[in-house]
Amino acid sequence: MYKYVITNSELTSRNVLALTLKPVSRPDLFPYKAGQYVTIGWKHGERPTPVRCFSLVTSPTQRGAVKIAMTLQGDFTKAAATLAIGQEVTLRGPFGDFTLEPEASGHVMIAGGIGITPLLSMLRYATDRGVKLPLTLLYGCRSQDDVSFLPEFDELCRLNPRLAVVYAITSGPVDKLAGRQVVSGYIDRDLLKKAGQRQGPGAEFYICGPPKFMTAMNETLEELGVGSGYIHTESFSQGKLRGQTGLYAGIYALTALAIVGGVGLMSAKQLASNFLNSQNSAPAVTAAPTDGGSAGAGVGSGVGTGSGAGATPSAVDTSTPAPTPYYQPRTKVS
Amino acid sequence: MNQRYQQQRRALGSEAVITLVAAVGDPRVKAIFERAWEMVEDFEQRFSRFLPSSELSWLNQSDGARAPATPAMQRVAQTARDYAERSDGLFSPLLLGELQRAGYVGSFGVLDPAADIDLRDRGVQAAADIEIGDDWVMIPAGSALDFGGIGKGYLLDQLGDYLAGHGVADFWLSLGGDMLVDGHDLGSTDGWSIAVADAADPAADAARLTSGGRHLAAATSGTVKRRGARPDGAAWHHIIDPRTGRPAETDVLTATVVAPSATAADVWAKCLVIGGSAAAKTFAAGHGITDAYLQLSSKPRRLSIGKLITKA
Repeated sequence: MYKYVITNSELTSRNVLALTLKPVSRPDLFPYKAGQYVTIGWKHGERPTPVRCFSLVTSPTQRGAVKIAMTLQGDFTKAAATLAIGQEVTLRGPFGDFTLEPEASGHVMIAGGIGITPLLSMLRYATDRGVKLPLTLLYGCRSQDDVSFLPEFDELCRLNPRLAVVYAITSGPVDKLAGRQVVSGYIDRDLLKKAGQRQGPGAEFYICGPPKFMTAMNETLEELGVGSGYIHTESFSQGKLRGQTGLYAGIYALTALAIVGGVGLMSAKQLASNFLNSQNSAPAVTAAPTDGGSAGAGVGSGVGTGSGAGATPSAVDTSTPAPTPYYQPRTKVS
Repeated sequence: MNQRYQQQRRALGSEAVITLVAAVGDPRVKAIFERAWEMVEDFEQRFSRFLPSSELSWLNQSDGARAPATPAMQRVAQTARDYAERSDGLFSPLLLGELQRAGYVGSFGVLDPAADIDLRDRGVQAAADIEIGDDWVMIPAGSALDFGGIGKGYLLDQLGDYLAGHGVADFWLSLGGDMLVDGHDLGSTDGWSIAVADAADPAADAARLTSGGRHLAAATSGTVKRRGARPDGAAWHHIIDPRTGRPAETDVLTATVVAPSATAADVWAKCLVIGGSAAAKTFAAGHGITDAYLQLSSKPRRLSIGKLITKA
């Protein structure tokens, strides 16, 4: 159990509330993986409130605070909207294994409504970590006014040229989304097919949203030949927490069910290792002096890794130690 | 005391080299290299037609419609359109369909040819019909955009601006053999000495030029490198003549152009190849090309424009 305080409360769309939470004390910072969720509750007077589950919108790369978001419907979320800055809340978790698949060749994320929250966390994480994989987000909303976290997605698109975000708006105008990739209508078979083609074989698909949305997306992907082992889903549904007693007995909670096809739990260590490996596979960028001096030869990238040394010497100061080898300035046919 | 720093990588389907002269132990060098390679990688991710995830690939899937475009895409598209309008019909960025029909379907580099998107159904359209809005780009319906004829030059200019803006006065850059140089080599007062590859023997030098310390670019384009035979046996090469939509029929094996910008050198070199030797001097005079060197398939075997490039 971790004690946090609310440091910001804002609407990110017309009916989605985001709460920013900071730990009361540093020991209460908890580790989590992008895509996981927590429970939140607080005291109303001296009595503890029910608790509900919400995905973390933030990424583990964002230090010092976490953010959760919720659709304003029902007593719990409406009560949350009235909480004052500085209100202490209690978090438990993190829970869930709806997290990034480490062996992927690309990631396609499919969100319906408030299902965007864990996917934003994953996209932020992948971007901050410099994951060198294509990323596609298909984000379905009823109207343009239901799109949440638009500035965050714009920022991620600027930071990450591998990321494409497509907004699928069921009804109404889309003028507020000008300059972005927008389709009018549902996320359909064609859009899923294009997203899959963009990623190429071996891409992982992550679906999060209302149950009917999840079912439709899952079935369509399977029709398109995507193996169940490549489809990861997280269903937001209202259910009764099992096995809880005492204070939590009888409380209805938003339960996140992770139905991860063929994918086991991945430890934070494994995830970090994967991303480190993906970065290490890229050529190093150590500046390599051509005279083989003390700055060190570039590992896998500096001089000495190719065979393209020019056939003729360039006009260099011969007092300089001869570079071995040194690529000469030379035009080639292109 | 200065020294040369150099790094080489595979990029844009070919070889990329960054060389700069800076003080021994200059603490800025590492960060400069890192940023420069980031620029190269970002460019490839955004503009490669071999990457289905690139912004260019998305744009090509949106032909005939306004596609949201980043400022970077808008700038490159604008530059390509401008050069097309100034090229007397010899340059177009809308030849991808023709290029693929001619036989150029895979990347010649390390990228997986299977990733190339089949756009052979796309035709040749006027580059002037590329529309660029505040935050969108629209290519004509049935066309496909490709920056293969201008992209390396454009990126070289961006890299050159970056280096100059960070106090690097002496450098040379190469992307697939397109060159941009500034300042002087270590210990030299003549700038950089640049060799020009021989059309018949890529390992040999046909000509040479010395930059004299100026900021200048040199690019060589030709029909001798990316060529082959289609399944039906017909020969092809990758220099498409926009006027015919077919591989250019030309007596120019290679054309090397020296220009103040790498973009100009890149585009004008292709135009000289496509235009043929008979039109070369007229085209050069009309487009401000002061120095060029053409290797020809028939006598006199070579044609020099200006005095900067000399036979090796």
